[in-house]
Amino acid sequence: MRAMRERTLREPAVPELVVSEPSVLELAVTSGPAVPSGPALPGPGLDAHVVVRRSAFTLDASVRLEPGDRLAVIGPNGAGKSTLLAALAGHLRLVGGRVVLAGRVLDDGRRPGVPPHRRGVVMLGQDPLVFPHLSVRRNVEYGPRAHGMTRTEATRRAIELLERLELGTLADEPGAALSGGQRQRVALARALAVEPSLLLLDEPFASLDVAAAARLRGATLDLLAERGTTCLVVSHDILDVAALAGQTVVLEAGQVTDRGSTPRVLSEPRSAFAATVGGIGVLDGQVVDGRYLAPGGWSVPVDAAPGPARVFVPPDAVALAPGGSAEVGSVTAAPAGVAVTFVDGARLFLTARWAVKPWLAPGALVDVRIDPAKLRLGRIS
Amino acid sequence: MTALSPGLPRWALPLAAAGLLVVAAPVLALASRAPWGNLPALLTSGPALSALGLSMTTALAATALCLLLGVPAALVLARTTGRLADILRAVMLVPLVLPPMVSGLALLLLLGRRGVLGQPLADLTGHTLPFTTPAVVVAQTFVALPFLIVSAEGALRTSGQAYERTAASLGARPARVLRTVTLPLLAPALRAGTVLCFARALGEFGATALFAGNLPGVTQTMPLAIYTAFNGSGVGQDVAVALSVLLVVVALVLLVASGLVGRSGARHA
Repeated sequence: MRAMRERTLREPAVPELVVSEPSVLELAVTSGPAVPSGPALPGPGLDAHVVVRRSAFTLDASVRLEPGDRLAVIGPNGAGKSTLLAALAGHLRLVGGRVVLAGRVLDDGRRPGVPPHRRGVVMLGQDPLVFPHLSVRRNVEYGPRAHGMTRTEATRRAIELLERLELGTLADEPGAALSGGQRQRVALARALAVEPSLLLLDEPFASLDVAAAARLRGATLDLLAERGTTCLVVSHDILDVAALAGQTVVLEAGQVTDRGSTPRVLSEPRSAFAATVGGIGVLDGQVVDGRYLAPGGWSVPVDAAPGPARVFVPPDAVALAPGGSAEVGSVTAAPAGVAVTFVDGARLFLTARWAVKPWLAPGALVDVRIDPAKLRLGRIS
Repeated sequence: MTALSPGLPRWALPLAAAGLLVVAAPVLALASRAPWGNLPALLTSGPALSALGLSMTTALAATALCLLLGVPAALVLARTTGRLADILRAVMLVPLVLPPMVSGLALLLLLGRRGVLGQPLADLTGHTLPFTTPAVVVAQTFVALPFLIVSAEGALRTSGQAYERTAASLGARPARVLRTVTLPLLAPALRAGTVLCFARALGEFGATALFAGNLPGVTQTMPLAIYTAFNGSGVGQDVAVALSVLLVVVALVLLVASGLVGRSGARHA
């Protein structure tokens, strides 16, 4: 972003840059090892340190969940998210670490692990895998019956869940006769019918259209919150992450590179991947004499001590206009809208409406305007 | 006439016609020379009924044995990977490529009076297996088993283990998963394999002839009866032709039942 002029501010007075909570200023790091997870949980939650060897890397990640909590795991393809889920579900053995769920050790890498059918861990993936040879009701009854529940009780529980998910009228339809969205709802009902100790959601709405995904996301959230189901969500979709999970962990190349509350991880990302998911531009500059100096040369007044500083630029803080001196390198789709990478390497995210501007293309010279009131400032240690 | 697809070269058509003729002509000749008027009487004559009854019972028994042994074998094969799987599969499919006479001889050397297992068995029980009706079942099972294993294993590999894993995560033990998920989902493919297995057992000649012999009423199945007739003994030649026609009809019925032809043909092939 060469020669971005210093903008006069929209607010008449000298604005204060919104400074994040002190914890961000102290703890913000550009890279580094995962934050250690502390002593083992005493209660019946999930306390897992998973070490699994794969061909391209070794997964070495810790996740902890209190009962009833929901955690999102995000990361690029091949980061180890599916491996993590498979290890928790019991399809992969640990080579090190330990998985403890509801007070039981499921796997410690040494003794034979608890087999999948006795773990109380249920997974709901992109493919609903509704049993095609059973009716909807029998699908939902499957788990409770396997656990020894009587047919009457299992049916009662199944009908209750199906009605909750607006599938009551389809109870006697064969599993194979349903639409994608309906099948995913059946799979959800089936998973919740066994009251799992841990529910794993692996891109559960990815194969649904936007409207169906939104409806099911809402229904899922309601049910999980009502029943206090402990849940781990893997998703590339920021809507899933933001709606379903209070905490988020970023997994890259088998390592946890960030963990914290979902709003913090997404709005003050500590990795390029998390920045992409949240659609937040990250720029590293300096605070000098009461002004934040961005790498491109522009600056805004700030109320912060001098030193290296990182600025988080949300999409609604950025406006572009044709005819400036910042040269566009590439324009790509991003989860939250559009990503514009400039030739000097800086990357900004914009809202989706910028995608239709015909002049916004590689090689274009643009004028970049950033609203300082919407920026967040973080420290680089 | 249906239209030729544009991509087909001209010379393909006459060669295809020749191929069709090679298969159809002998069968048509059989049909044209068959004693249609006499057929019911011929088929209900003593020796014919005896061969028919023996063939049907032994083939059904062999098919049942194939299901009992073949489905677990297919499950193990489908879930095994690597070199071990290749070795196991090669062993299990040997009867598919072995000349039936060789199969019969091998069975004789295993279970015959002086066979590897036959001798201790004879010493223990005073009985031998060859030239008895159970021997027919053994010979038929040996040659027909690979047919079942191949179709079952193919279907299991294609469907993968996703449904089984789902069932397990819902709390179902392995036996329950097998009973409530794996086998019901395997059923359609198993139908084709079972029918092929039965057809192979019914038509078995070489191994049966060598291992079980050719005793009317005891081990003389329909194929053996037909052969013997044209060797100048046993049932008359017209009975032999009648039995042959019957076998062709049975074959056509089995083809349709297997699902390999007809509406579901494309799915199972």
